[in-house]
Amino acid sequence: MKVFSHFFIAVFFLIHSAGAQKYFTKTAIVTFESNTPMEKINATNKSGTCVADFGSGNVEFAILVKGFQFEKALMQEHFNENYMESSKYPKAVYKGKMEGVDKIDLSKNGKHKVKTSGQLTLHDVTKPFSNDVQLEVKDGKISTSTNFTIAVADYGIVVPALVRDNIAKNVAVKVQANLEPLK
Amino acid sequence: MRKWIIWLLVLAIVGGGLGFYLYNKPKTSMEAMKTDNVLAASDLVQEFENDEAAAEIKYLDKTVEVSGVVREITDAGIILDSDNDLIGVLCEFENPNDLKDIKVKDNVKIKGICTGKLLDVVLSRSIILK
Repeated sequence: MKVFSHFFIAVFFLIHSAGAQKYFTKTAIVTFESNTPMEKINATNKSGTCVADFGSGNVEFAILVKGFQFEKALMQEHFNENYMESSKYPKAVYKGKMEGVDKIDLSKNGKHKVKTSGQLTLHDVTKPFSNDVQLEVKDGKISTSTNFTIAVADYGIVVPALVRDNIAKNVAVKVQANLEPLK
Repeated sequence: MRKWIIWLLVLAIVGGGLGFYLYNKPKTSMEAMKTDNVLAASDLVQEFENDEAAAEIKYLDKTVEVSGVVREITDAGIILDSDNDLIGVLCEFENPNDLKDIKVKDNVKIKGICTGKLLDVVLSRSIILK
């Protein structure tokens, strides 16, 4: 019996210590902007999900494509139906690793720059992706932000000739996530 | 001959005007959207849990009214309870001001557009129904 209770305590601490390194959010904000002389288009999604393990460095980020809100109804319709085909491919997912995060002392406030690299899946096309992420540890929470550009053509998104001048070939993306410890 | 030109002009103006109107048309307000489904938050979660692909066909892009108990209040909305502790219905609010009178454990009815499931089933552009 005693052996059993020791076993459970050991398992509990194992889970507990592993859990202490994991951070997550369900309300990451993703915005993107397509700027051309003809037209400026931007959209925001406030329900991005991110789970980041600061022990192993594994990070996973997912967003529902249909959650992007545009200013104009027609833009949103074209984005979903013609370009992202979001009924067929509802999610965009990034899975990767953060380099050297096990060396970050999460109990101390401070700013860090971390490189992440992995695979980004958009519109059912998966490509290698890497980028720098700014981390700020503050009172046990971690706010993260990153900027990058996506070449629309890389992900098999075809823009018709008629609107080619209205949609940028490279779309600027901003991600902001405030991570909390996973309990 | 001249009549033709006038007709052509009228057509061009009407066509251009219609195009401009459609291009600038704002989104239909959530209040004015026709509700497609009314159900409990726990049932919506259950359907996505049982068969996500089937639930996507049924609910994606649909305007749904869900009722449930507030489990958590987030930066951009609320999470409604379900029978599963790990999954809920995350309602992203169109107007964050609507959140100020909501408390955890409140019984609420929410109208929003279902965009799919990540950790939770997500409703975007949510509003509170009185």
